[in-house]
Amino acid sequence: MNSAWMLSSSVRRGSDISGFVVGLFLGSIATALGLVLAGSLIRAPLPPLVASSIVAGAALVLLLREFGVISFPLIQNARLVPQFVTGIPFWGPAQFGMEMGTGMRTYSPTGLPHIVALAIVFLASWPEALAAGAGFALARAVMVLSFAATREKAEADTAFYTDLPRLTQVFATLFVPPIVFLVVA
Amino acid sequence: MRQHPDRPVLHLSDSYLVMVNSATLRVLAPGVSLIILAEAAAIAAWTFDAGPSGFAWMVAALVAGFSLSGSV
Repeated sequence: MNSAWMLSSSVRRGSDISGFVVGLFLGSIATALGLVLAGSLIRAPLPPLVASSIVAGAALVLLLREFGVISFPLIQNARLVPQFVTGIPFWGPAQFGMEMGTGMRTYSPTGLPHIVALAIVFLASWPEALAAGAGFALARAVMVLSFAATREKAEADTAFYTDLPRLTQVFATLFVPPIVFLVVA
Repeated sequence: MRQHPDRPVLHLSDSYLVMVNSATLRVLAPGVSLIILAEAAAIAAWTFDAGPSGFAWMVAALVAGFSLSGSV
């Protein structure tokens, strides 16, 4: 079951969608800034080249996993956001969105968010973390807005739940240029 | 010729083994289009050495975030 489907009973109400999206941005940006805060301590003793090498090495391993070359379980919370929060107007979806925005209370079929988190810890400045948080929230918001816009909810759910995870390698390929830039720049 | 809604319209390589019907294409199109546009803009910005590096962070997170869309 995906988040869009969990919101489907109330997602047609504009306030619920806006609450969810606001929550996504709050959760995502707060998490990104928290990672920079933690990272500023972790990376302090490290030369920039070592920090870049750690991110590059981790990215390489996780990308190999995405392409099925190697296999190992990802570190993840793997806990669903409680469904009851969707029953509370605006603040329920906002809380739901905030938890989704952190990316830390979810099942993660891909290691790409882990790479972004590691890159933020070791490489990002405050404004760069802000941009990363906004990008993550925007991506998740596009998913729920696409779901809300379609009339065929069951097919949309199938698209996100069944078809999208099969595109893992496409997303991994699209992820390569930006992560190379972040490590090299 | 009009494509039947349930007929697969896109085949990627065997390794991807994906048959995306038109409904899937419609639902995923906004996110995938956004990613491709952002990626193209980012590559153009790097090529011409223009734009803040924050954009690259946004694109990386955009791809990572959308790849999670199938899960909670």
